[in-house]
Amino acid sequence: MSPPLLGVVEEEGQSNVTLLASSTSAESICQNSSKLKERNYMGLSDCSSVDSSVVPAASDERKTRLNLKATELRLGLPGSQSPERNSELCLLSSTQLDEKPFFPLHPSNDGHCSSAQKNVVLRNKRGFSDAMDGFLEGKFLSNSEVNVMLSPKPAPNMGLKPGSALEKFGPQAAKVKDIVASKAPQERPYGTNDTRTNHNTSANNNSSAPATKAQVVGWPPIRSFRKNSLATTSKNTEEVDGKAGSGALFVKVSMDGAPYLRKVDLRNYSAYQELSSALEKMFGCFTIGQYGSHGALGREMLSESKLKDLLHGSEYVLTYEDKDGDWMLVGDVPWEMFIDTCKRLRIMKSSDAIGLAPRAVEKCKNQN
Amino acid sequence: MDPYSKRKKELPERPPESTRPSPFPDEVLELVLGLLKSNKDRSSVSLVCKDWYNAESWSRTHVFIGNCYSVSPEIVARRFPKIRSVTLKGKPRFSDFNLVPRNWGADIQSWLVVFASKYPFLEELRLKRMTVTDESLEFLALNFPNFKALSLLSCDGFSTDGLAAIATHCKNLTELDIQENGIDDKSGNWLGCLPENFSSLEVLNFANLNSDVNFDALERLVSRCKSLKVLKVNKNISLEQLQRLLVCTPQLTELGTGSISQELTERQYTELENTFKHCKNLDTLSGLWEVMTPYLPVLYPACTNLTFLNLSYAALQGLELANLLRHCPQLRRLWVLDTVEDKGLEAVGSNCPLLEELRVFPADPFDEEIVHGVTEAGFVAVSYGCRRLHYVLYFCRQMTNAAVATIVQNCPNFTHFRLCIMNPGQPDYMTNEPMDEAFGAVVKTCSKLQRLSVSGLLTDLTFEYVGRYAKNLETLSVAFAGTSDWGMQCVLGGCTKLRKLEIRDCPFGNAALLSGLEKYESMRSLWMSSCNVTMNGCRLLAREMPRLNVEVMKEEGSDDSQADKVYVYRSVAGPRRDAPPSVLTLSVFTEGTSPKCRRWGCNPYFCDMDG
Repeated sequence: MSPPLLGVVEEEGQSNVTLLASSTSAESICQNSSKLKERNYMGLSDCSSVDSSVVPAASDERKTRLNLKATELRLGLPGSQSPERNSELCLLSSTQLDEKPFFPLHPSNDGHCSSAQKNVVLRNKRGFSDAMDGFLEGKFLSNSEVNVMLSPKPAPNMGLKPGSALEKFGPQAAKVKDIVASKAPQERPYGTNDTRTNHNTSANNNSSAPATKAQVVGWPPIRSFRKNSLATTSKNTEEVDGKAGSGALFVKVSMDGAPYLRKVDLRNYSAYQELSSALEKMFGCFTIGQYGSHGALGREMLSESKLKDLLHGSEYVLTYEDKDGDWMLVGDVPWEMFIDTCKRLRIMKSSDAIGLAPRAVEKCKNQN
Repeated sequence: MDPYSKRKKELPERPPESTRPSPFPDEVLELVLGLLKSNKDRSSVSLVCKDWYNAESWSRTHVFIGNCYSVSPEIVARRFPKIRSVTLKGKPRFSDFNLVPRNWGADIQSWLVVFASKYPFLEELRLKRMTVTDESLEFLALNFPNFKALSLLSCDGFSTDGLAAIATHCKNLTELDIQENGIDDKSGNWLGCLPENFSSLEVLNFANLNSDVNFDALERLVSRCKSLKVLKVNKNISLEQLQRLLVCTPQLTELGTGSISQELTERQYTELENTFKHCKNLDTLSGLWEVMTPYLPVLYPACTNLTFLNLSYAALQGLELANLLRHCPQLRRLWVLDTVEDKGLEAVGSNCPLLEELRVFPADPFDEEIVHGVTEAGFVAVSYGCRRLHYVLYFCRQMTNAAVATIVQNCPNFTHFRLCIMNPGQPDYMTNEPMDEAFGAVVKTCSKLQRLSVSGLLTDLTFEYVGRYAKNLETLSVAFAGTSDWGMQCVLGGCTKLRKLEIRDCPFGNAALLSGLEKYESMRSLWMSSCNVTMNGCRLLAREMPRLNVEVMKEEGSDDSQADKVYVYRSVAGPRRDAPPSVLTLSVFTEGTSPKCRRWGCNPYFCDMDG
């Protein structure tokens, strides 16, 4: 379903450095694979050059450096710790975190994460989004690379004040960090105009500045004016999240095995049932993808019912990450409380969700 | 002295009466030809004979110059003495996407200097992708007392100070249209520079600007200008302010709103609703920045006669769009963001049977992680419902050959088909095959196709199809496509009407470039960047075709032999003298000689001006 070429990129973490440096000749090759090689969503090639430039002037250097690491961490696995929690950890046990690799290669919820690992291998194309989740370092890089990765990278181009974004807890911060993290590789070999654009937009409070496709100048072909306007528009959409009664409440929805994520506006629904059927419609096609291809028209029909079966036959469960960063089963709390606390959704294989239910129950107990 | 007899003296000797082809006196001929508006027709007319050439030259009031370097202002002025309106395009289109160095050229100043002496009665200036400085704007304002209309699209180099100069000095201003420019937005008080008794404005578009304008001045201006037909404000104008403006302008035909994000009281909402009820003459609606969708219904009463709805800055959801479209039965052109998704496009298909143009822009073009947006399904849905569709610009992240085949089967009248699959080189996501058959279907079915932009994984087969079938194609944009020189050769060999070819990141090299040797003089321009063309290839082209300007832009740190960016265009003005150091002009053309173009007949000057 997805071009295997992209899979190549993930595995050539090492080579990305040199490829970026020789941007022009690589460009002129014009083969898709080399094109794709240049795209470095991890910012892997860039981090070494950036180390020195991101020495935070903040008083607590270690704290801020760690907070930047927490920014990195935001690219965490679904199920791994959220940034808020991580910065808490940073503050508490900084020495600890200095020493060991930050991305837990053996995360607490083992079953959960290893299956996610598998999924990354399967999802050639959108391995990037998993890469963004920070998983990629664990899978494809040696430990030394992981440590390099830990050096604060995305901050300089974003004009981020180290630590400032991270101090804010809550869904808004999560989204901001998401954007920040996902915009990590800002370095462009040329195309100064683009960089300038990024600086401008990023100065506006971590707005979603154009980023990840850093290496392809002028693509997609959109005028600068529109790029800048859109950056502001989506920034405002993000800011409006969480405001009671106004605007949309977008959360990401990922599905194990699906090549890419979706976003849904929780305010479009008033009950779990509506959300569930919307998700069935959205992700139906991916389930079918695993079972073989069907005709374009027949697909939707088959997939919906199939997915329903799958969902009701508890092949998949719908889970969400709440404000505290815990992964919970959807449906436990009243709808209003749910949309208040839900930060992202994940459709997991029920086999992976085994560990969740008891935790969810416990948590409710603790909260109530 | 009789102006006509004076002119007769200046014209070349006319043959004796018996052999004169035309029975009409010059005056009549001029009157008749003066009624011709289409530049293409005028060009044809000018080729008939010397008399007609002269009559056309004397009766022409508007000149369109598609490439400002194809001709010099002196040549234009010499041929057309009575021009009152000029449209000029400058930089190659890829400069919109940062592929052209900043100081590349296309400065309007040299033109203005000539116009000041030859066309002091100039009234209109419309510029696209030109560099315009504040000094130029001031020069314009001070040297053309009749100046009426200024339109700047995708230009750069000026600030609001320049606009202030225009506002201050242009007493007869009817049109000020500032769109999508790289403008240095210093402050909004340029608007206040318009004199207090100034009332001739018909078109005002400052949607581009980010700074606040002086609202009081704007309100007074708008209420004075009874002929105001087009008003497009920027996002800093609130709903409440917009309402105050609209109360003064019931005659508006085009409205660009400010932001729709302000909190309104119920009373305010009702007032606004009533105001929009009175905007019955609107045929164009745009703006809607930062739209707060609960307020969209306030616009519904104004949509009855809308033919063009531009929602490309409003992040609407599918349902919101559907609700809005139900009130727009006359819609011909629709621009949206892909936040409306396929559901929104289905609503387009259901509600807009008269739709002729659809543009879907990406809301998050650079965000790889999240996949919003539209798919092939949305496009197909539109094609079933909107059979008159002939112009499409579609940004998406997935597409199939089958879908495109269905689309063009439903809508065979495409004149402009611009499909951008945003991931470069992406195949048909269902079959994993190249997208060759998709564009093959387009060119085979859409015989009227004038403009095509291709994307996705494409082999030379696509270009074979294009060369074989796209006989009316005038503009082709190619990126990350093709397998070998053969692809480009097919296009150059087959597309007889090709005028503009822009290529980036394709494996086309010197053989391909040189296969078009004979062709480039019949085209406006060729752009090739990040391809396999070398300096030697370009030098050869320049040597063989002296009437072409071959310009190479080198990039930092690139191989000496590679021609990173090549821009080739025909010109009767010779190589340009204002190129920056980063632009190498390869030419053996000697200045001072005037080219006799073998292909253009008696008329070496006209073709680039019109196309």
